[in-house]
Amino acid sequence: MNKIKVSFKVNNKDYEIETTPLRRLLDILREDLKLMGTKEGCGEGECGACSVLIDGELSLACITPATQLEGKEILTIEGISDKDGEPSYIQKAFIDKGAVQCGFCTPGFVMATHKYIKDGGSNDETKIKEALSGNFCRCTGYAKIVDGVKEAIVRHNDKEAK
Amino acid sequence: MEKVVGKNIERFDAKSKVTGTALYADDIPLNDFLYGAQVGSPVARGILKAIKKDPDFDWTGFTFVDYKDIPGKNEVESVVWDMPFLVESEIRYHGQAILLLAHKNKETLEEGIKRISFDIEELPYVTTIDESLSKKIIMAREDNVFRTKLLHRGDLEKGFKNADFIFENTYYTPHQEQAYIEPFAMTAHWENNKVYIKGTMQCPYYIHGGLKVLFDKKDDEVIIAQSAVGGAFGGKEDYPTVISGHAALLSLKSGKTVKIIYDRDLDMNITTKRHPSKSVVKIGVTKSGKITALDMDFILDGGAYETMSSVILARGMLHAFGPYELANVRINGVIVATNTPPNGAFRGFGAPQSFFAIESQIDLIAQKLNMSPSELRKLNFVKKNGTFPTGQLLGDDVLITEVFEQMLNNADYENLQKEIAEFNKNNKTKKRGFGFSTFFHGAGFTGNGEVMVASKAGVRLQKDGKVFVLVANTEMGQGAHTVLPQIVAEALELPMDYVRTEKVDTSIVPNSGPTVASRTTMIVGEILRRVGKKIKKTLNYNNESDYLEKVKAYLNNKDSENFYETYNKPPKIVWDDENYRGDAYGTYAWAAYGVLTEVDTLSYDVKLINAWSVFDIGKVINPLLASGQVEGGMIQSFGYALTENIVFDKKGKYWNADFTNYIIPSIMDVPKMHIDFYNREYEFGPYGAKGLGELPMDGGAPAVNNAIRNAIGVDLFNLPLSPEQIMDKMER
Repeated sequence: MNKIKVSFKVNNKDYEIETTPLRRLLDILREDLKLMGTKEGCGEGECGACSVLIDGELSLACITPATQLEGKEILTIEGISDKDGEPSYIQKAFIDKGAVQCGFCTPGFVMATHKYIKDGGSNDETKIKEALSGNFCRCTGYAKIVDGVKEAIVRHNDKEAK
Repeated sequence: MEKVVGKNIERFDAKSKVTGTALYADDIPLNDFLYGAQVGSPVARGILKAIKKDPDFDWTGFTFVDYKDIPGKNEVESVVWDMPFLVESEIRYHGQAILLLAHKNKETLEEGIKRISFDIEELPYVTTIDESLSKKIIMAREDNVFRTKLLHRGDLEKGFKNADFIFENTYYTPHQEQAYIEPFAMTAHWENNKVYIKGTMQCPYYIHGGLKVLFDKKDDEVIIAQSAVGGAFGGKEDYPTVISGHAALLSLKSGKTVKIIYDRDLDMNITTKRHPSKSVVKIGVTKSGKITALDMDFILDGGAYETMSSVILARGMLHAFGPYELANVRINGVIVATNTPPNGAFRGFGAPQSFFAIESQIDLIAQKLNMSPSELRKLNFVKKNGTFPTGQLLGDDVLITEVFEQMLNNADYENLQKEIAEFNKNNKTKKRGFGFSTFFHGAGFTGNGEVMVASKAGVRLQKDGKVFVLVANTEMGQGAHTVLPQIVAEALELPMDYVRTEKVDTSIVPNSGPTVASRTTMIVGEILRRVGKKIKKTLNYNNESDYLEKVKAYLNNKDSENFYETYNKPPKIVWDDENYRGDAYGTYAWAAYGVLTEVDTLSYDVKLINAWSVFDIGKVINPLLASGQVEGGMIQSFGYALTENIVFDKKGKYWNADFTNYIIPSIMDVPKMHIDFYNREYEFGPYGAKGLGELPMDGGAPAVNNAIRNAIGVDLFNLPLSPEQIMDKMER
């Protein structure tokens, strides 16, 4: 198949790659850019383990082809942590509330939470659940993930207040 | 010294997991490797005649492996070694591996798979327990039966004679997929005639044993290491031997490192699942609700090969009688064969199937007798120092009455019933109901299992005072690699930061047994507590700084020393496996669930509103991790109750082997959970801890079934408790 050239940003870094048009963003991230934090759980847009932000919108890297990446700004889990690689306030809240077990779904949940809080999401449990409804977790039963998001919102608001 | 046990110590792997830096099998950097894959059977049953490679395709750079490339035995080591790694002639299930391929380019490999075809003489196949039992088609052994077992107590005939009523019903449960979010991935390479495996797994020493057989190798020629594991739930107990074998065969032939990754579709199509079951439950009761006899046929679908099904049957049978004192019992266990992938371990291990049957039937009887289901249970509960049907004399730690009362109390049962009655009066198309289940789980291996495994565990004490826990037990999300160091730190009377778990690699860690059977904390944890105590006694230190000096003095010119202990059987445990008599388990963990459901009487949709649970798991070592475990287990059991189901297409293949059509609970399906622990320390567990992992899976399905019965008065007998099934009952 003919290759195409696409230019985009990932975590504020510029990339230009040559690839086949239908190659998945997930493979580009993992194989070309060696960003392994974005996971493949189902490969068909059901589980949310590959969630990333594309131009600020929560997107699934497993069903996003290369053709849709031109000029886009992509944010992955690697771009969420603090500069020194330490967990961000969302990630710390997840740890403190026991929202992490096997951890395979965790980057996806962190991305969905990041998007929710960035958009000014409230502490309302139903709204939190709706915001995370595209992500599967098989370990936690979700309760502690909701606790983690609520805690992150509190910490976010504290930070804003300061 | 501040206590470590009982504290919410942060997971050792939490940071790497939230930041996405934890390395799962498919994340590990590799140089110069090939992708491997299997080509499976396109039919459910047949005789393989020929393998055909498309002559028009460019096969340059491909490695091919079939059964003739196997240096040792083409047998997967298990309880019964009846499954081959690769088909020789007979095909028993759709997708069964016939040929292995490897290529450095993933896309080329995928194209190659499509260019392989097979000449197969197709044979008629069976996919269900009833088809198998009918014996119209015999596809395994002489009669499609892999195994039978009998558990018997008292005089069944007399028991039924003393009954005023006899209730007999048949319950069915389907396959359940573990649905760990990380699919299978395994890497193999060879160096100096030694094979190295790394990947997602629960039990490295199972793979170690399996590859010794496959390649005819000695202990130190097979090295198995664990990567980060993205969930397992039993699904990565036995199957890793197969995929590791495949990767290692391809690596041996190609001379390269080989990585096999399953996509979700393949993972769900060919790896092990929870055994489907059929339970015919016949119970005799007096007018006042006393059970006089229980007769049960408990039949499991083992799939195409027996593998480890017999131990799952055993556990299912040894929980099938429920938490009741029964004088007259017969439980007849059978494993039948079908042309489906072999079923295997899944959290609960036979018990969720049998508890669904017994705990649903108990409620049905209460309704027929016009008795409260809680009174009927309390009347029949096994009491302290009571006896289980195997003749096992229980101690004073029988806590079923206590956990049940505590659950009802937490749910405010009296008021809840009034609220439900009020709600139902005011709502025409929504009906609420409250149902419960009472259950238990035998912790550790069944019968003599722990004695046979004779686990060895230890620690490496380093000159700098750091202590590394040496176990083969894996971290798969449950928190074992945080909880075990907690136990060691407590025993050493040192702060947590001195202790962590060494990486799991069979060339480094001893065989402390598999990470299964809710045994890691209770069995391995207790061995480690003894190791810690031994070091404390040997070094005889008073405080942290004294410790650091004494370690240096003790090790002298050595950098480190390993300390080990092996499993000690608690006294008085005797099990006769021939006759199914005696102490089936060293101890039991007890639990009760209560579920408030709301049934939509137009759509028959069932919503879970609230769920209460009380668990007796002895001392809780890490409350945050423990509550996370039980919440996850509850939700998994509610998925089993309401939506999870495998169906077949016309070729005997799983039709819904994907997350679009196999429905696991999402965040929107989760009820408000109210969990609670009953804290009573267990004499022979580390600091009083018992097993925990599987218990929460056991009780969800019957509790939901009973709640639906309470809401709309229908008796359901099949999982999942789907709207279709309810509609069928309501509109008949």
